[in-house]
Amino acid sequence: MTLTPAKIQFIANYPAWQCIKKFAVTEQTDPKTVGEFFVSYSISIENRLEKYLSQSVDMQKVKELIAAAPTGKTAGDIPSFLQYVSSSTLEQRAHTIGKNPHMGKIVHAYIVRTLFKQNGLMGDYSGVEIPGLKRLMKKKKGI
Amino acid sequence: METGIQFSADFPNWKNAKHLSISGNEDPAQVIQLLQTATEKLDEMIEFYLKKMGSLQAIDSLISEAIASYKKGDMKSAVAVLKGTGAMGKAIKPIAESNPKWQAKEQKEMTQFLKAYATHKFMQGIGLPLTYGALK
Repeated sequence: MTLTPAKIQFIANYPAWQCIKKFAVTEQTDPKTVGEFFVSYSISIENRLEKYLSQSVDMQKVKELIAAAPTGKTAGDIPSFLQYVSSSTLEQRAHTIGKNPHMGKIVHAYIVRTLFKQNGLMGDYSGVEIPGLKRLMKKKKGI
Repeated sequence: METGIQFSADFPNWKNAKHLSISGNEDPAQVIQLLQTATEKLDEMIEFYLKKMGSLQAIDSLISEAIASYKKGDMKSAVAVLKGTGAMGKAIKPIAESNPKWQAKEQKEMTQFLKAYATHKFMQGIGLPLTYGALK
């Protein structure tokens, strides 16, 4: 299967957010470069989605569910950590916070993603250290 | 440039175009929905390009085993997948070191890519997808 030539474009232009992400893939494009673009793309969009999520639900309740989680830092911690994140209790509470099934799923994913990051686990691609990207993000944040 | 959000993807397996006009205050629910659309095939795309860099067969087999064991209540393989250790660490290493042009930082980057892939696939397999686009 081939996926080339192909392109993707995302533009946000309004007072709260200006963002341009464009990429074209040809047969000659290095697959690692494409993967790196998708990581950078997903970080921008998923971070913004989380910002909007925080405007839509009661984040205090979300923080309480995050704080109640057992640690998942060591191999020995993983079983109880996994039990917590996959429990139907957490899922139901997330759905209550989200107020509808769609937002409930997003709240649940947000909680689990946050817990994974806190424990140094890579549940998504945002933790991939792309040479140059970290430097650019620090510069953007003014660190 | 128009005010709002524009998105278009033109891949053989991902064709979509959306536009959301925003004048004044944006509706968070509408924006969230559009951002999900803009990331709905990302996992598939990243997987496709990872596979172009090396065979993920050994990793995929370990993920399947870990999912089956997890469902029977055995967490040992799940731990190896989430931590990228044991058999999973051994499956990741040769792929991360497969390109002679890659130096230490590229090998580290590939290791992280593959760890993220394995964890993400495992979580998806136990019914907990962790990318927002996959929840659409």
